Amino acid sequence: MSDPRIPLKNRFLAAFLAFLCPGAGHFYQGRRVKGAIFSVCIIALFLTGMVMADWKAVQPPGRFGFNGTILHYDDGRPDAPGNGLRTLKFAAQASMGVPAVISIVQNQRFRGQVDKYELKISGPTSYPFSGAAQVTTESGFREGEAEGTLTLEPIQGNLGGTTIGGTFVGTIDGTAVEFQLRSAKFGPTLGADSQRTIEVSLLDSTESPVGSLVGGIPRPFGNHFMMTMSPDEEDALQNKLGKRHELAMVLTWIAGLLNVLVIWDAADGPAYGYGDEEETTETDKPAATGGTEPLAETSKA
Amino acid sequence: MVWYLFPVAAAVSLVWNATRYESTAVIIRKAIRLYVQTLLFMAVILGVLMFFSWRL
Repeated sequence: MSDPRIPLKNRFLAAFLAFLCPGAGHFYQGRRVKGAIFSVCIIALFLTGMVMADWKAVQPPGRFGFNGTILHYDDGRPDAPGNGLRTLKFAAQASMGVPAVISIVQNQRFRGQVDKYELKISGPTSYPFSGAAQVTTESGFREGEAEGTLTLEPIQGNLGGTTIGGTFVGTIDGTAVEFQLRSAKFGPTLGADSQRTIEVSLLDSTESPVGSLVGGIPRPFGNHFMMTMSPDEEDALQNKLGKRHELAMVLTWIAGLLNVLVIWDAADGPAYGYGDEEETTETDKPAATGGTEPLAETSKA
Repeated sequence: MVWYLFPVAAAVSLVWNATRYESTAVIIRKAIRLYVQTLLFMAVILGVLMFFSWRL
């Protein structure tokens, strides 16, 4: 509803700004109180949902590779169908422009991964590591938590190719250790978890295998932030969060759907008008009939 | 988890009414009314559910 008292300015730009960030369109129009209401309420709802869901609440439809292959669990099972449901879930969040666009970009990267199990490094690179170790030494078999630093680099493999090896300096079950590494295997380059899985063989001073490390090294921020989840990651998240995951999703859906109203308001003004029309109309009526009674509030809602 | 109801209802009431009206006073007044109505409605639903699940 247009009202000369409401400055819509460039309504298309305002709607676009509201799409990018709730309330931004209203701030552009100079409607600061409404801009503050929208930005605080909607962003708070959305961020609460995102934080509760470990920043994995926005998942665009389409977990299929560009060649049409369906994603698989790590054990080889095909991902369950349900792209239609994913589309509906995403549709409710899609009016939150910035996160929606980021997640679509990340989804495109995820689906287009090439050589996703490789670690592309040209020289020695250090990574903090945490995980588990199994090792057999002269003092016997040991198994426990491992923490330390992996220094990885490309090395010559046993069969002539290149593999990733290096050194591990850290602790296993609290005991300081240092091992040579060989034949590192990695999880995908892109994933929703902040840790990329790694499995690597431990060698003793004679370069004989004595055990293995299994754990994670940090993914770069851009390689995990709002990234599409693999089927395994999605299962793990639901197992970890339980019903809080559902609540988190609902909060982001509410925020997204409310922002549809906000975009509309930025483009076309408030649905029922300025808000004083009823009072003006009612004021006029008693005045016309000689009455001076205070107004009874009416609601169109 | 039920405590999330209160801030969520407040946010929804405010945003809904802010997209209906422009006047801040009207927005606040109607948002408070919608907030109370929402909580009362939820309380009634809670009461009905508790009644039917009594001693289950």
